[in-house]
Amino acid sequence: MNITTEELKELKKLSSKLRIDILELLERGGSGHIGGSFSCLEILISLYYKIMNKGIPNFTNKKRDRFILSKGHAELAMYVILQDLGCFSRKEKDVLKAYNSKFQGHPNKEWIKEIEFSTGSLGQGISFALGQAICGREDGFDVYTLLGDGELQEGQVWEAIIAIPRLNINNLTIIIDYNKYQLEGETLTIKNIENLKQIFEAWGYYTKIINGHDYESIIRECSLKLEKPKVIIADTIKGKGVSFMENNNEYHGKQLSKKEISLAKKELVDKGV
Amino acid sequence: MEALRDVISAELKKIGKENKNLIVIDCDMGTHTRMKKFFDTLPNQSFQMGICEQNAMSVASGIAQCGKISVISTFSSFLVGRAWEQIRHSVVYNNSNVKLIGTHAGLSDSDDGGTHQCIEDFSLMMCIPKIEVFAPAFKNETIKIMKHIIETKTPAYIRVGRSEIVETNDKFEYNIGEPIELFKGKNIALISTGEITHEVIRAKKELEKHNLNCEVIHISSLRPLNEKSIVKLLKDMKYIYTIEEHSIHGGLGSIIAQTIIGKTKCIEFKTLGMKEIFGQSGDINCLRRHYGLDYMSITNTVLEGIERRKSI
Repeated sequence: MNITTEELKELKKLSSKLRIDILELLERGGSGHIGGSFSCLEILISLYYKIMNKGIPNFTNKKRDRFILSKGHAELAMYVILQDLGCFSRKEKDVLKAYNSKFQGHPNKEWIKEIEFSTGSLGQGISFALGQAICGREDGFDVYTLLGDGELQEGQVWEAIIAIPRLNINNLTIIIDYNKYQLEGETLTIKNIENLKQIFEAWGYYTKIINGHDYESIIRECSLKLEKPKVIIADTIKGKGVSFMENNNEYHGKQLSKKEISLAKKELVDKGV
Repeated sequence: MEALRDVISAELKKIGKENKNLIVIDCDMGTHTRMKKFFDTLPNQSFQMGICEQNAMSVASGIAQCGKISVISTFSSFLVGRAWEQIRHSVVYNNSNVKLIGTHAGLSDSDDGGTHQCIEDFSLMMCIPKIEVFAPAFKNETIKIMKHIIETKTPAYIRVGRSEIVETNDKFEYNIGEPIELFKGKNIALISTGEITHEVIRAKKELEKHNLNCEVIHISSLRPLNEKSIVKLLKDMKYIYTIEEHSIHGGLGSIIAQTIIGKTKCIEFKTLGMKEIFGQSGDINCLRRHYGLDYMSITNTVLEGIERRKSI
């Protein structure tokens, strides 16, 4: 699928708006995983607004395409998108991580029904997505899952990676948010992105490294229909969009000061898109 | 004579032929769990996930969330031990319609030794909210439990052993969640769960030789469990013994103690089970004797209790 210049402009505007929405969510209280939410925002926007069912998903449709946020610590990105899609209206009590708030510390389908799978414990989303993809083959839908690069350290991920090609799954797209950081510092997996690509290729996957903030690449690769399973290694920047947060792991999940929020918002507004 | 794993497999096959939404997942143990029979008959409803229980558990949840009934089966030890967090998170936390069938539970995989035996499953499952936990001892009861779990959408775990069970008249009425009073008795109650109940029935008969008339209660449903019924059956009992092929921590003994404390005339309460020890290889009867769980050990424990207190 290709997008027009006009569509691209709209998507870039949406990135900016949703980054500001995230900051506003944080302004109301609580601390969220801002770095990892900013790194994958373009990927989530592409999926929810362009790829899945080729437009805004109908969450009650049995044949809807599914997105599983295996890296549950990108909750902020998911919350602002579902909010923007009109899945819920935000109430006063809905402060991030607050008591009785729908914005739980990690995405929870008990609180927001449009979330396909409650995540938070790493490594399980990819297997759940595989289960969904097995059913999607018959029911006619596609499944997308996003993993953190640090999440690749979970053994269960590799159990799934081995099983997927063996089961001839070709309606599942695995996207890796390769932002190069995990909680305690630099990601402890393979440093060379090309080597990582070769590993997936050896297991039988179509594998592509892309710029994870470039809408055209994300949309082109995600919409590609293939006869084999697909891994997209999205080269991203943790904290993308706000200069003092970019590649600064202090912003993995820290509570932002009012000053930081205002500076970040100003920068996003000044950039225009 | 049949083993309960055969009973479960046959029942699933029967249900699966009628209900195409029933999916069975194996983790390279189908021959032993008997799920191979289901796989051979209904290949389109079968998924071989291989030796990866954690992945298989989350896959089962993904399938269930598409409107299917996922049944996942392997040895209890690897099912609820290896994939515990996936049961908690992928299955129960997400309220997925997944049924866990654990075979070779307790000491029943006696030859394979401690790694393959499972004496922790009740505690591992009972500490997770909502998931139903069953340990049947009889054929008809097992069939009834299978029907129940397939009809309801709650996550559930069933544990069975490996051996053929003793032919017993199991025409008693069984309602999910209710204790089964196998024999009415006075003052002494023997309460058990799972296939060790067959040893308990033998112990009851042995104790009759000593003019002791024991109440025998079999509990196959640890959750749900009607606590009022338990208290009603036990309120006049002075000697209460729980027997399980499980650690003494967090299983039947703990559940009964928690349920009846302060509500009975009990002067002696003993939990018979595995005490701070792993199993080992050996013949099942030999192992049960070694760990104090065969019918003679149960008999002697009761006799010693009565002798010590000099009263009945």
